[in-house]
Amino acid sequence: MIDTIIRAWKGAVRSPLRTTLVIALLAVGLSFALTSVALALAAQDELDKVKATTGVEASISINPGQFQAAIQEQLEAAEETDVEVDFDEIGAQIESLTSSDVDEIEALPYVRNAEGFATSSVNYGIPGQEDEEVDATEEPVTTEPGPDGEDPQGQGGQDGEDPQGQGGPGGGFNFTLPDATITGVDDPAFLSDFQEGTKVLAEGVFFAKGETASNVIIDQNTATLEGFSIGDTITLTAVSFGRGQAQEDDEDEVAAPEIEAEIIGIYQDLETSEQGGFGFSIEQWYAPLEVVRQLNDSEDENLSSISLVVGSVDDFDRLRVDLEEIIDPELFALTTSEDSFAAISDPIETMRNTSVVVMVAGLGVVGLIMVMLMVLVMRSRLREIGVLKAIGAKSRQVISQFALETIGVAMVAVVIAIPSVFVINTFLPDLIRPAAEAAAEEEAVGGFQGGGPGGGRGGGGFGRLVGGQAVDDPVRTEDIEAALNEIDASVSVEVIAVGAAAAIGLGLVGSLVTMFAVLRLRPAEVLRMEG
Amino acid sequence: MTAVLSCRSLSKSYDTGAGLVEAVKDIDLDIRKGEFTAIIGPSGSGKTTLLSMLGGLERPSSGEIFIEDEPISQRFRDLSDYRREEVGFVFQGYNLVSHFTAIENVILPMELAGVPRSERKGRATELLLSVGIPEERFGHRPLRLSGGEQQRVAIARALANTPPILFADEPTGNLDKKNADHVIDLLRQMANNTGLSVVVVTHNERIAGKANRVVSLNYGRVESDSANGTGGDEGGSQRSADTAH
Repeated sequence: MIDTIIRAWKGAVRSPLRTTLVIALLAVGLSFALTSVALALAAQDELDKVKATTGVEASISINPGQFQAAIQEQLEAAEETDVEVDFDEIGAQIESLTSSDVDEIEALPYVRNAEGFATSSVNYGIPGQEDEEVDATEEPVTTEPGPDGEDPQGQGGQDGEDPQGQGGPGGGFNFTLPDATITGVDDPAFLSDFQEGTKVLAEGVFFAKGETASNVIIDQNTATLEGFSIGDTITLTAVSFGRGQAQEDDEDEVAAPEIEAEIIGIYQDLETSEQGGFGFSIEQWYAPLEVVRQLNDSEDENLSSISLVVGSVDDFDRLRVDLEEIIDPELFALTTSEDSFAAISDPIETMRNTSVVVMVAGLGVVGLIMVMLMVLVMRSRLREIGVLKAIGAKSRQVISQFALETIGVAMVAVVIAIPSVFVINTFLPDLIRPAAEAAAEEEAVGGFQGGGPGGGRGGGGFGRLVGGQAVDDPVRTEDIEAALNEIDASVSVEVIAVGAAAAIGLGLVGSLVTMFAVLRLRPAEVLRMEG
Repeated sequence: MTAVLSCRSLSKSYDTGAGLVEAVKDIDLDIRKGEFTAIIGPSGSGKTTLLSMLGGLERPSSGEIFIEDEPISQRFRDLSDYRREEVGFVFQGYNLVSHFTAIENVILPMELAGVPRSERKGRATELLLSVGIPEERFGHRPLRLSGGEQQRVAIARALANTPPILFADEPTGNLDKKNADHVIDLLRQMANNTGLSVVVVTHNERIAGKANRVVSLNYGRVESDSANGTGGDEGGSQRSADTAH
């Protein structure tokens, strides 16, 4: 073997200039190929990272169909019996999620965590000033009869749903928009808007996990408008389906739950601020789960939504199947953030695939160069092959000598190409990186058409009102750009391994030419080459 | 005298597209130990084809070659083994590997035969000195050697694995008279002194005159096979073309 290696070495250096040129050509092609390999690997890593961190949230909320069916039933009953619509009955018909659902979901092996949310629509007041209720936004709203699912306020619900039943089929009724929707959660760490940074606590603190005290976190707009500050106490009055209207109509109606809560935090909605500050929306407030349950007058552990996080977006298929065993899919809707993943992963996949194409093209060109060079080399070294055979070399000895020669040359090219990856990396990624803006726009057009500027995140529609935690927000261009910029070619063990494999592969490709020549050449032909 | 190599009914035909051409027809021949045999004949008479078959460079279309009465097709699984172990070859154009030095060219067949590394250089040195290459030329590549020197290096290479038979195809074809005489004298001395059987294909009557035995081919057949009195100490067997067939 050593003899064969030495012969191969001598063969490789027999013409230093030609060998240098061959190595240079191969090194250039391999540099591109290896940079592409590195980029493809980096893109795959980024994809795996994104898969585990983006789009893994999901929310289970009450199916809007439940509301529609209940409203429809009540409206028909009211029409038939000529009595008032029983709004409490509508609420009673709605089947809620429960804490035991949360436990079952959390027990699923691929679910990292699950948290239940309850929401309540409220009006607020200042204790002792009930008669002079402070509410700048309170305006009676009258709906006209309209088709199913219309949103007369243009609040921009993502589904275009109308959870309050304001525009129910068959007839209209007056109602008053609540001042705020309070989301109750056991652990404030699960408030996704704060996690994602679209909302930040401007003053005060969050309530503690498991806290039961009557505390509330309100929005800065209301705080500024009303002059509220941390430590102030406000009265929260629950507003259920038509309850405000019912109370106005029927003095005997049972009084809505009411609690006094201390403002412990004031948050700023960065997205609403970016869009011009105030918008026509129902403000989002936050409180311990127990507080919201009191407002909902809920004796059991009813929840309006469950937020959960899975291991990766790949788990959603299993989740859908498993959820059928836990909750009735007719009654509850699963909203996932898979679209968010797609928004980021699509351009990454594009970049990875482009890298693979460049890699294949690079290796193809390099392979072609190798074959062509070997054909030329073989033509000039046929006599040498013939002589080797004539003096007793076995075909495999000749083939292995030339294979080692080409592998050696390719190895040297790889050794030069590997550090060249850093050079190629300065421009190749920019050439093949898809435009994040285009990807974001494409995603926005394809997937996120809800939520007008006025509504903003605060007016996010049904999912927001009943669930409290939006999971399918559009992915920002900056996030896509950041993910794409993370993809950078670096020399890793994998790249070196691919380079070594490429060298061996190229050597073998070159050897095919040798093999063809060696097997085809009869040693007697050496005698004919005389002269 | 013992035949180290013999052939019986050896024929070779080529398909030229326009039909079969019989280059060598039904030849019987015995090559004896220490005999210096010259094969002569006009161009196209089948000399080189016969040499190629005897040297294992080409398979015969029919007939058999024997080494010590054993068919080489049975004795050797691969003709390359036969070429490496039983014969040496010297070509008209020397055919040294251009990027190897003189001594590396001589070592090459030993490498292929698996001769221990420790033995190679000593044997190559001995061979090169025996063919008249001074030590200071051992490290020269072929292009820096004269034609005569290259051919002597080629002879040394052919003898690297101590074969019993050496075949040479027009070994003096590219040499001037002085160098040609040196090479032929060298081959004849080897045949005489070492028992090496030498078979030389040549056009040159003068070269043939130095052989022990002259086999004349024409139209692919042995026309005459005669001992040459001036050739060497041992006379060859006389065999007419008629008796050969």
